[in-house]
Amino acid sequence: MKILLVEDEVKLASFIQKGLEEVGHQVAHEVNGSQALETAAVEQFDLILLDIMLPGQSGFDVLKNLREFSIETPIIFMSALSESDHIIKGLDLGAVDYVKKPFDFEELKARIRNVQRKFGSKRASIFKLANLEVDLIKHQVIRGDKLIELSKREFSILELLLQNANRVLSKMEITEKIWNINFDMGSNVIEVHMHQLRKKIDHDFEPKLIETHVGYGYKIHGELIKQ
Amino acid sequence: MVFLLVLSIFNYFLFRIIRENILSTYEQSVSVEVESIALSMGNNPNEVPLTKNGQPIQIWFNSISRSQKTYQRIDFPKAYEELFLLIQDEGYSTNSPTPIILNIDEFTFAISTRETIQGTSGSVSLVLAKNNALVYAQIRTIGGWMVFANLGAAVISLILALFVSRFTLKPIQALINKAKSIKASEEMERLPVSTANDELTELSTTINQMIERIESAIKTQNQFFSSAAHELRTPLANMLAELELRISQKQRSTDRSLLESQREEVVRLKYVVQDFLLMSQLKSDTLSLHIAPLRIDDLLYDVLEKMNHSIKAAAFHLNLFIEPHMEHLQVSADKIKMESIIVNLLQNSLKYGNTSEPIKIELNTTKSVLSVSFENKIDIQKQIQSGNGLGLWICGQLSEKQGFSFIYKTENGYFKTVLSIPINAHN
Repeated sequence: MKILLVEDEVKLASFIQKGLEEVGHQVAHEVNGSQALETAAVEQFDLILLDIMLPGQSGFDVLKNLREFSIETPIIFMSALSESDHIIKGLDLGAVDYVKKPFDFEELKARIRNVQRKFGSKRASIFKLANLEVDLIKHQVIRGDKLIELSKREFSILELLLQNANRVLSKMEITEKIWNINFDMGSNVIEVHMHQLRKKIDHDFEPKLIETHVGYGYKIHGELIKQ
Repeated sequence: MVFLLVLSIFNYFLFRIIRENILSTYEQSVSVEVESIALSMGNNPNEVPLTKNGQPIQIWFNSISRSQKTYQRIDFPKAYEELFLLIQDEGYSTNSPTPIILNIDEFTFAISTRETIQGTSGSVSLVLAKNNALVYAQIRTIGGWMVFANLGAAVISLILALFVSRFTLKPIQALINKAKSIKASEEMERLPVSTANDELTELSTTINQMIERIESAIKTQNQFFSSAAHELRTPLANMLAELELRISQKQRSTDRSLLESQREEVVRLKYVVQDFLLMSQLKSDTLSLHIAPLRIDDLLYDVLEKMNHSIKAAAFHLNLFIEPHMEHLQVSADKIKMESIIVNLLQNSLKYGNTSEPIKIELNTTKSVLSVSFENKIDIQKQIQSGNGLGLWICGQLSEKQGFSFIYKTENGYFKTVLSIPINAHN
């Protein structure tokens, strides 16, 4: 991804820049809001990482000005101001996410991946399987003509199953890809969420899409159409 | 009570004076009465005067050598028939021009002595025995009335005092009630100030000035904590970013473990800064809540993912159990504050837990409550050395502010914390 990093802390910016470049992103750095506006106006970026406390105009002002110039690049705010008020203001102004400083680099990378998934136009964003329709950008699931509400993890599990349609995914594989947490063997997280997902997706509908392979894992089956 | 005591002492002495006056008056009346009877008798010892009811008398003729009783009314008290002779034996002069008055037991005796017919030697003594029962009964009645009046006065005074004090202290009580309701915050309420130019107006104005100073101190304190937290987070962000970059570049395990250890300390420091900021907001009652619906399981996973490095570094395993068929995973809460609670609970487990057993995290529901619990085997020595710390206090306060309950206990070597969220009120 081509990322514009707007951060007045030069030392922090250089670490973030290096870290992101190491994982394959192309990063440009600006230290104040005015220069960031200028750069964003002349170059096309996939994402802007924007600090709030900037010299001159604040990150909030930069976001407002960008939108006034019809620059709709997704923005993730980064700030040491971690009060709910600031987070809400940032999201209300149209930022897609908010990272509190100091943050784990893995967390930042995960949020960037999330933006990439949502806004990366080259990838399919709608999956259809039988009468199930899943919109990855809108986070919307429809079965038949019924809108189904899923939690963040339930949606991620469904997305993973669809991306691997007609293949059995082991519990371990699902845990690693969805949670990134080392659960003990006694945990029942997968079972509970698969139960909830099946209840919402399959219970009142035909045909049944999710299969359990006892002792191994789960599979969603059917002809998958990507749009 | 003091008033009652003073009133009682005063009334006691008053009663004593009244009693003595009554008895003195009584004695005088007895004296007059005996003189009056003696006058009606004349000078002849054999002449019996006319007496009324309640006037038992004796008449004695006193010659040079002895005294002889010449008359005794039938109702004269038998026990005192020889009293006249006894007092003569005791050396009393019965020839006094004024009557002799003696109080013995329940009787008052009056003795009046007169010369007999002119030219004869000897005298006539009249002894009147008056029963004191009536006069003492009157004194007792007066005493009773005084006690009654005393108590009555005390009760009336108490009622009047309460009424007057309530009336006069009403504005002060209103100020006290208002002052009690004022909470410390950046925008505190003020006491009402009347237009009258009196002490109450001065008091309200003075208290309001004090409130302004408190308000200003709270603002300064909050600004300090907020600025300090921000100033601390910036270098922490630099350190964390640099450490993570170096960790990703280091291949040698010794270097990596050193850097990872440093990163854990920075992460700990990050949460300490967050806790201090929360503590200052809680102490000054300036914590703001943004309640919105959220999935408690998603929030829990987000925190566990964020703290995954710390969990791995401390070599802990997680045993997460969600009650099967659980429906109420959505609650209304402040996401940031809930995140702080879960971070603190997990940090507590990492800090004091024993790695021989996993940290057990459970999501359960009853009909009306969704509970999130953390349980782990504890390293008692670590906990004794460090105490339960700031984290659990913050968890308790943040839970209370959102209307949730929070408890923790140590039992059989296990430490357990339970956060209970009412379902009905928040769904």
